[in-house]
Amino acid sequence: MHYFKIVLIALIVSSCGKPPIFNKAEKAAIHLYAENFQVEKIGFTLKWIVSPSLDELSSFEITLERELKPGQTISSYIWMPDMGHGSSPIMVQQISATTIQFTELAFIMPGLWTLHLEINENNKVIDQWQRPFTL
Amino acid sequence: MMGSAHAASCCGGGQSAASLILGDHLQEWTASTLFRSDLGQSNNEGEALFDGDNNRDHTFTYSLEYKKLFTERFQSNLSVNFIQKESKRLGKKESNSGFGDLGVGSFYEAFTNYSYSTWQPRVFLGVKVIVPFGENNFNSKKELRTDIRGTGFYKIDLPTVVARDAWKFSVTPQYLPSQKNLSSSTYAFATAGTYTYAITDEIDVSGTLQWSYLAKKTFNSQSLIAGQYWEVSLAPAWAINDTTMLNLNYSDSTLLGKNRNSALYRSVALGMTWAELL
Repeated sequence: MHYFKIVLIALIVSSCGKPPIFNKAEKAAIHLYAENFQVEKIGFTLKWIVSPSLDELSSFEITLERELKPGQTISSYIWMPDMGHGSSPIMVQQISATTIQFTELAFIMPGLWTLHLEINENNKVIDQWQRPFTL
Repeated sequence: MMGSAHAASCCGGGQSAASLILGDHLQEWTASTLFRSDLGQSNNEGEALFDGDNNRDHTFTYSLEYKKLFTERFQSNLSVNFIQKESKRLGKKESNSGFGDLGVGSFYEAFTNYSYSTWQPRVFLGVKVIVPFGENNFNSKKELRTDIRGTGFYKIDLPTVVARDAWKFSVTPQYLPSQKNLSSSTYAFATAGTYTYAITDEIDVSGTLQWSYLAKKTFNSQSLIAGQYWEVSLAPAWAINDTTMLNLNYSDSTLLGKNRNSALYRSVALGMTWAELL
């Protein structure tokens, strides 16, 4: 039965690589500073009110350099590019002419996420911004 | 009696080999309960992202499997299961239950052990069709995704199982045809090796090492990138008598690397097998 032992040893050896239990990812701090919508040329700053977390709903707000043009709105969503799915809709609240708050971000599992912001006009996306991070 | 315990394997681990009658049984019924706890995910670099201690993802699977030997060389199997999922995170609790995958398969013993040989193993060629009853990664409608029960896709497995004495080895290419929620066909692959050690005439313990690869899946603009994982299983079994076996199984996907883009989980299963002797 030596060939079975050879096959089993080959299987064990080919599992080279750190086992997950000893190979935990370092979760990088999420730093987001001054950002830009490239097409509409609007700069903005993004501030996390509740940082992205697996334990509670997150929220953030952006402050635009100038007001959006009439008829334009901003929306946001989060997405897992490796998993092919996102999460529940994000609530948007206009705090002032240039400050918008986004709440109820539900990061439902660990992994790579991207945060998306979109400027919409006439039901079309005319500009967008995104940043990846890992939870 | 020694043959009875490891002739009826069940409850996960070894995958294709678990759906095979290897002993002198005309038919087998196996009822089992499995508890699985999902601990996190591995990313594409093979690093583990473990979930918070206050979060939980639990799955309870109640399975029934029937296997029947129709001729000396031909056998078939049918499995159904009912799945309950519970998830707690982000201050929310969500649960969902329903049928999981239905599996229908057959094996043909291409090489037998009818004539004595010091080396020749028994070789089984199989086919198995998986019919999903739960949702999949692309069409889940629940916020915490508890409606994903099983593979979520139609699948065809082509297992080849090689068995000799205490050893079993299986290779299973898997084909997923294009279907609703899957833009183009894709494939998966699994291989496993099992060694069974007889502690007494009635009690044995099996160790299984399994490697699985899942190719990329796409649906419209969404994609689930390729993933792979290793699973280690330990399964003691007790032959209560010639026709009744009790099986326990522990499986763990965190102990052996490299895992990429796959769930990190541990599971425990308990099952009972009733057999009719030839």
